[in-house]
Parts: sequence; C-alpha cells; structure tokens
Amino acid sequence: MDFTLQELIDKTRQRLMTDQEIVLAERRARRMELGIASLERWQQVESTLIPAAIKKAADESGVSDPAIISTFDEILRVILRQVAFASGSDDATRLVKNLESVHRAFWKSPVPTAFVSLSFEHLRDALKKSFPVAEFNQLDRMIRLEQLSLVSLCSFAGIQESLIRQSLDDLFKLNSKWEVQDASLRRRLQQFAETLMQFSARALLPEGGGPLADLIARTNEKIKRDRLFAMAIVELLGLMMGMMRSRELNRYHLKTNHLWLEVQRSLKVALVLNQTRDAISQSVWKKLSDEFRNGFEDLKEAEKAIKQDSYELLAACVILLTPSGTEKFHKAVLEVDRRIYRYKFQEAIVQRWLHLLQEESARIMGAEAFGDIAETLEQSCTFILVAGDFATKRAQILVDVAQKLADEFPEVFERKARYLSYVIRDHEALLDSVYQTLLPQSELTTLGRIAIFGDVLIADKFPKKLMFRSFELLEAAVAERFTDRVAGVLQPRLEAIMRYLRVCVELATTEEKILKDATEPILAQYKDKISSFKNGETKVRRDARTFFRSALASIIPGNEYDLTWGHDVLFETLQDRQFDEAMMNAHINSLIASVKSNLDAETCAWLVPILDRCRKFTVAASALASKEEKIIDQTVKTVLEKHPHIALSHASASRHLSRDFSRLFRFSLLSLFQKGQEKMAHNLDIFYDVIVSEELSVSYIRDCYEGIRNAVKINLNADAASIWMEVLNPSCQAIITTAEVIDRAPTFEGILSSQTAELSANDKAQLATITRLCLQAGALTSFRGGQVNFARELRKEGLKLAAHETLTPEIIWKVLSELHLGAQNFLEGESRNLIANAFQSARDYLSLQSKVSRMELELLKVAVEKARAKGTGPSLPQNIFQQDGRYLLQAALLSLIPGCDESCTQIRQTLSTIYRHHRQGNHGVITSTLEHMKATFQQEVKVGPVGTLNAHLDSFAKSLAA
Amino acid sequence: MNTALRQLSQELLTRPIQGADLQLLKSHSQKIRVGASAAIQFKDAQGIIIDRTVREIYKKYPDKLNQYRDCEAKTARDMHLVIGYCVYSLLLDDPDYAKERMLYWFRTVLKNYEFGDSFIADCYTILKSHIAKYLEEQEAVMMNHMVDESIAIFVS
Repeated sequence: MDFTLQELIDKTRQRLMTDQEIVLAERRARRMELGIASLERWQQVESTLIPAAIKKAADESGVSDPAIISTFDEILRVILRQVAFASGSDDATRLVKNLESVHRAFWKSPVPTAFVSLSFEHLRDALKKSFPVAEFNQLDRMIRLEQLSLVSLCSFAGIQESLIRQSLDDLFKLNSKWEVQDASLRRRLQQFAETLMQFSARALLPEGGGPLADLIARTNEKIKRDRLFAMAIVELLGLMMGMMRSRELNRYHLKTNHLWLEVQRSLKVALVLNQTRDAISQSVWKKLSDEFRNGFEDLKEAEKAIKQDSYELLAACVILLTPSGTEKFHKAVLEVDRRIYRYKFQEAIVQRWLHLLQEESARIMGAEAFGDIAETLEQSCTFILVAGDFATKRAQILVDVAQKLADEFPEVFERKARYLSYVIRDHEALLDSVYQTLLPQSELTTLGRIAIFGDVLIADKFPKKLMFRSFELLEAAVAERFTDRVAGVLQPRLEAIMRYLRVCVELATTEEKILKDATEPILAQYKDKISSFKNGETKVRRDARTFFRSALASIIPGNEYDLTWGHDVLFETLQDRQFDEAMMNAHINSLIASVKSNLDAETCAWLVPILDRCRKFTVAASALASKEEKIIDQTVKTVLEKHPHIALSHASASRHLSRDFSRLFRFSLLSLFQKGQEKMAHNLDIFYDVIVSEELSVSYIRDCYEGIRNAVKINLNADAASIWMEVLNPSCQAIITTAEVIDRAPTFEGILSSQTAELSANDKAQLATITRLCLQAGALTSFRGGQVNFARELRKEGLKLAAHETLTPEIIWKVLSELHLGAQNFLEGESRNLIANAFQSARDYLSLQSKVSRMELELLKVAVEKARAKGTGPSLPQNIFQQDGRYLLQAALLSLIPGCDESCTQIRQTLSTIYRHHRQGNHGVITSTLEHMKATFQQEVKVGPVGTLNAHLDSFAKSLAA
Repeated sequence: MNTALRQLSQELLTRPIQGADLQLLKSHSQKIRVGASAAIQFKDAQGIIIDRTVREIYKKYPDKLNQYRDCEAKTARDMHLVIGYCVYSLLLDDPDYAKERMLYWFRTVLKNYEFGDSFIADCYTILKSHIAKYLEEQEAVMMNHMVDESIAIFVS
C-alpha cells in the first residue's frame, strides 16, 4: 500500500500530474534532507559508535575472537553506510542489490547471531541518544529491516547445516524409497533449502521479495517432470519448521516462518493440481460436450481450448497462494480470458464451463487442496464470465449511449464534435474499471482509477445535466444489454460508483467554496505561521483538498486506500512534530463545518462520518506525539519492575516492549479506517507467535497492555484519551485473549483429544485445525478486521468439510459444543466471550454447512422441479434456478458467522438485481424453492441452528419479493 | 534512482562517505524541492501558459493551422503531455525519466506530422517565454532547462 513517488507516477502516467505526486515529492525532499543530515552526523560518529556497540555486544555474547570482531566492524560500517545512503537518497531500491555480496559473505562464514543482534541493538540505542528524533526515526526504520534480515540470515547460516542435514535424514527415514528413486534428490533438496533460507532473509528487506517468488515459480513450473522433488520440498519444509519451532524459533524467524508456510501451502496445492489436472480437464470437457452436443463449430479445437484453459485457470489460482504472486496471477487470468473469447463460444457454454470447472475441481482435487483456491477460483470465474459478455457488447453500448446523448444535447455536441469521442473514451474507461474490480486483488489499481476519474469530473466542470443524463443512460444500458447474470454482478457495483461520480459532478461547482470556507479561517488565524513557509498558503489549501478528496474517494465501497495510507504518513509526520497541533485540529474541524454547511444532507451522511474519523485520527495522533516516549518509558519501567524475571531472561525485553507499544499505537489508530483494520489483523496475528516463542506469561501480557492503556488514559486530555480507548480496547483485548488462549491451550487440547479418541487421524487433524483457528483467529474477533479474517478462514474450513466422508455434522457439533463449553468454563471476562462465540459460530456454521452440502444438490433439484410444476415462474432452464437457490443457501449459511456480512450482501444484491431488473420481479419459482428447502430442513436436519438458517432464508425470500 | 546516485551507492561499498558525496545528495534534494515548487506553480498556471503558447504559435504559422483537423486542441494536448513528463523528471530529479518515457517516443510522432523543426523549436521556445513569465525565477530556470532538453530531442 505504500507507494513510492516513482510507482505512483508510473501507475498514473496516462493523466496529468496530481497534488498527491507533488505532496510526495515534497515529502521525499524532506526525508532526503533528514537523511542527509543523519548521513553527515553518521560520518562523524561512525568511528566511535560502531566499535563501542560491537565491544558491548561482544562482551555480552561472549565473542572474543578479534578476527570476528574486526571483520564484523568492517561489515557493519558498509551496511550502515548503505542504509544511511538509502535514507539520504530516500531510495531503497539499490539496497538489496548492493548488500547482496555482504549477505553472501555472511552466509559462507557465519557470525554468532546473538553478537550480530546485540551489536545492532546497541548501535540503535546509541543512535537514539545522539541523533534528533526525526533523523533517528527515519534511519532506524531502515536499520531495523536490515537487522531483521541479517540476523535471520546469520541465524539460518549458523544452523542451516545441522537443520537441513537432520531434516533430510528424517525425511529419508520416513520416505526411504525416495533416495533410491532419485540419487540426486538429497543434493538438490539441500541446495533448495539453502537458497530458500537466503532468499527468505532477503525477502524481509524492502523490494527484496523477487528472488523468493521466482524460486517458487520455477519449482512450480517443474512439478510435471520433477514431481518427487516438489513432494519432498513440502515434507522437508514441514520438518524444518517443526525443528525450528522446537529449538530455534525467536522473533527474528516469525516472518520467514510465515513465508515458508505460504510456500509449503502453494506447493501442496500445486502438487494436487498437477496430479488431477488431466482428470479435471477430461471430466469438464466430457460433461460440457455432452450437454452442448451441437454447440461447437470445431469440436477438436474446442476440446483443446477447454482442456488447456481449465488447467491454466486453476494454475493461476495456485500462483496467488505464493508470496508476491499477485502480478503473475493477474497476468495468467487475463491471458485465459483473452484466449477463451477468441473461440467465440456461446455465453451459455462459457457459463456452464466455469460452473463445471468449479464442481469438478472440488470433486477431483479433494477438499483440502480445493479449499485453498475455492474463493479465488469462484471470483476468477465470475470475472471471466462478465468479461466475455462485456467484450462483445461494450462497444455497442458505448456508441449507443453516446448517440443518445448527442441527440438529446445537440447544442453541446454539434458545436464540438470531438466531445462525443471523449464521452465514449471516458465511459469505456469507467466500465473497464468497474468490471476489472471483479478480478481478485485488483482493487488498489481499479478503484484508484475510478477515484481519479472523479477528480477529473471535479476539475473539468462538465454541465451537470449532461453528466447526470450520461450516467443514467450508461446504467440503463448495462441493466438492459448484459445478460442477467453479468448485469447482476455489475449493476450494484456501478450504482455504488455512480453515487461517488454524481457527488463529484456536483462538487465541480461547490468544491471551491467548501475549501475556501474551510481554509479562510485558518489562514486568518495562523497568518504569521503560514506565511513563514514557502508557498505556505497554497500548501494549506492543498492540505484541505487532500483531506477532502481522500475522504470523498472513500465513498467508493472498499476504497479506503488513500485515506489509510495518507494517515499512516500523517501519523509519522505528527510524531516528528512537523505540524502545529492546534492548527491541524482547527483545520479538520473547519473542513467538517464547511462540508456540513455547503453540501446536501445525503452527501453529508456519506462524507461527514468519514471526515469525523479523520478528525479523531488527527486529534489522537497529535495529542500522543509529544507524550508517546514518556508513556512508553513509564509503562515499560513499571511492567519490568513488576516482572524482573522477564528482564533477566530476555536481554532485549525493554527494547522489544517499547517497540511493540510503538507499533500498537500506530496500527490501533489506523484501525479507524477499513484498510487499517486489515493491517491490524495481520500485525496481531504475528503476536501469537511472539508470545509463544518468547514464552510470555498471561500476567505479564495483561500488565503490559492494561498498563499502556491506563498510561494513555492518564497522560492525555479527555478528548484524545477517549478516542485512544476506542481503538486500544479492541487491540489490547485481542493480545490479552491471545495470551490467555495460549496459556489454556493444554486444556483445549485435552478436551479435543478426549472427544476425538475414536476418530481417524485425518478427522482428528481436521478438528485440530478448526480448534486452532477458533483459538488463534477467534482471539482477534474483538475488532472488525479480526472478525472478517476469522470468517474467511472458517469458510475455507467449511468448504473442506463439505467433502469429508467420515467427519459427520453430528461429530462436528458434539466436539465443538464441548470446546464451547470449555471456553465458558476455563476462560474469564471478555476472553471467554470472544472464544466461546468463536466456537459457537464455528459449530453452528460448520455442522450446518456439512449437513446441508450433503443434501444440497438433490434437494435443490426436487425443490425447483416442484416449484416449476406450479407454473409460477419465467421459462428459464432448471439449472438457473438451482444456481440461484444455491447462492441464497450459501448466503444464509454465511449469515451464521459474524464478519461475513459483506459476502452475504453481495449475493443478496446480485440476486435482487437479477429478479428486479431482469425477471420483472417474477420470483415465484425461487420463493417456492426456498419454502420447500425450509420445510425439508425443518424436518430432516437434526443438528445445528436450523431455525436461524430458515429465518435467514425467509428474509432473503422477502427481500426478493420486495 | 538517477545515474550519479546509482554509481555513488555502488562506490560506498568500498569507501567511506566524503564531503563531495554529501554535496551531491544535497543538490539532489534541493532540486527536488525546487521541482516540487515548480510543479505547484506550473499546475496553477498551466492552462493559461499552454493556451497562450498555442495561440501565439499559430498566429506566427497560420498556414499550419489547417494542416490537420483540430490542430490547436491537439497541440495543446500534446504539450500538456510533454510538459507533464518534464515536471515528473523535475520531481524525481532524473532528466532521463522524461526522455525515456516520453520525449524519444514523441519525437517519432512529431516527425510523422511534418510540421518541421523550426515550427517545433519555435513552439517550445514560446512556451519557455511564458513559463518564465508565470513561474518564479528559480523554478522557471529548472523547468525551461527540461524544455530545452525536449527541443534538443525533437529537432535532432
């Protein structure tokens, strides 16, 4: 999410420069000035600080070999020089490349990890004391990453030989035939493991992920002819991680451990896919060609295309599982999309192909592997389905809309004929962006493009009547021309985006006044201060516009990127005390007041809550800026006094705690924004491993996080403190619950093993995964981002259970009920609520999902047949209604998990649109189908909250009828 | 990263930082500062600068006005693009950025239109005079340096 100026310019070079780029350039110059100042300072202290830090570290870590000390002295100078240079030039792109040789040397002659780590720690402490805050913060960010990467590398280098040898011995003990099958396997695995370790450490540096991504991509590509190698890697990684966890895991390994898990998962799925690809393609083609016997012009060519693209699409979904795989995934899906439409298959064939592909992959790949790609595959299929209809009809829609506009507004288009081509161009870009949002993980670019179009509308001041009419025509054309399935997906998105664009058109005439009313009082009140800066007045106006525009762009659903990113930068800037606190607060308040007085109630209802979150952020961050250090120092001191053994057993306890608090402040406050919630979920997920690896007790964690909360409350003014409590309560609670859950893990393991003693190893493993999920991800459900994360993971488990033969709904219900009870009995306070609720949601959803998925196909078939026999619906094929019923059932099941509301809303919106616009509200068949399903569930399903499920189905039926 | 800095980063692997290195970095950051300031000033005045340039050039070369359809609008659009990339180069303090991303490619486009080197040179020289009028001195000098680079490429 963190753009560099160069990236931003590259991304948006199709249009003219924006304020954001200028702001970035100014920030860059500021960072460079700070960097140069610290480089100058560094030049003077290099020869004293480094030897001193190294000496201290050597004493503490027991390193006495002068050769090691002097070599590391040299190396640390080179590293720090490069880091300081990267800071001074504000460009880290060369850092990875330049330090490659240093890292390679380290790998060959490892230096004791503790010595390296402590040298960095002492050096950072010394820098903190001798450098101004802003200079230190900037330099330290880069040093920290280099420290993480180098310490990981050293630690890997120190243990790699024994770790790899031991893991390989274990691997070949477990799979004795492998070495006989392939004599070079041991050597090749050893080489792979070594490279993986080096590249994983490098991936921790900014822009250092490329080599790792390429390594995995190459291994993936070779699976077909070197299957054994990939299988062995998966096993080997498991053994290596197990060994690391039992003897070496520390906070420096946590990130690489996560990377390895991703690598292992992607290779596992790639292996299954490779083994099943032919069966899937064959089965999909057979069913498709049976159903559409006369639908293909050239049967041979069609067979080749369907088979190839079935595999390519599945392979693309696997790519997304690998670290840094997004770009490669997009390329692969777009390639399939481009190819499949070259064959000009009928839409019904493509639609059926995509459904068959999902069904057959789920059946043939098996639940475990398919579960990992199911969501991506579903989204990619929707994208391809829409893209086909889109490609064939887009041009005509654009021309027709433009023609109608030309007829209705002759005075505009006759005067300037080229305007018509502009209208077509803009509509085309808009429609393209809307449909591209369907491609998984494309929002950053596509929504950004729409936001920029909004900027253009404000700047170009087109006639309001003309623009509104053009939007109206475009929306109507999308609803009328595309097939119901495609329009059902596109229309709700387009509606939400049009809401933003209409506001932008309105703002073409009012924005200037809004910003003027917002800035004039500030310019008057802080006249002297502002005039002391070059272009000061312009900057104040521009800041108001930046706040306003990023809040405005957040009206587009899912588009809080600018807002989150901008505030992340603001947090830092406020910390460095570059802004006047009172002026900042006055500025944002003035903007809110101006919006309220200049815009209509409906627009205010969208904008003011967003701006209010900006206000909260500014007030809280600026109040903390001057007191953060004091609050943290005070809390760390109090906690470590109370827990002296922690300080004794963890050499860097004080440093780690200070840094954890600092991070906590930042991501908790950013959780005011949607993307910040996601970031917080990610950060807290890593905390689980920190607590485990450092064996931190519940009472220690409780004292830390209750302590920091109280310190904030006491030290800040009431307004700021109440905002901080709003954001800190959920994050601190999540950490405390995590510690309690880890502490109580043996209890839950006991419950689980007593309940699953009779089950197979496979079933036990599946239930253990669900239990871990409820404990680990459930602990983070104290905030929205954590809930969304938990729901997403639970859905995946639900998909896996659907195909489980022996793990029945009754067993799932029984085991999870016992665990739910365990949570109620053995946990306390808010932790009890969070974990008990997580087990309850898992129990309700998974048992019902497992039960319903077993009867779904037959039930839907019978239900639709019965409903159609009543003759109440439009004459559409049977499978269309079955599909609708399936979507609605899926949404009703998802409604059982808190945090799934967005997915449910999306399904409901799609179907509402289809019935409202394309089936003339004729919902007889689907309503009767739902009625039949409800009655069957009531009668036949004896496990799970059937009443609640039926109530959700009922509400869906009503919303379709409305 | 511009070439000089890339080279310096490589050199610092084998030698300590020297005074001259700091000077280079300082001048780089200073240029970015002025570049940002130039961008702000240019953004405020770009409409009028380009509009006047276009009117003036076709006044001087009226015969060119009907050489193609909508000549004025197209010239203005192209000039916006060229100057946009020049501003990006200033913001990055990397003259190569505009050259590699826009100017060399655009030279080919311009040649196809056969307006002739003198027309092109005049066009961008007029642009320079308007930039000097509307931007402060330091900013105008930097901006016009990039316009000079553009002229040199277009007429080469």
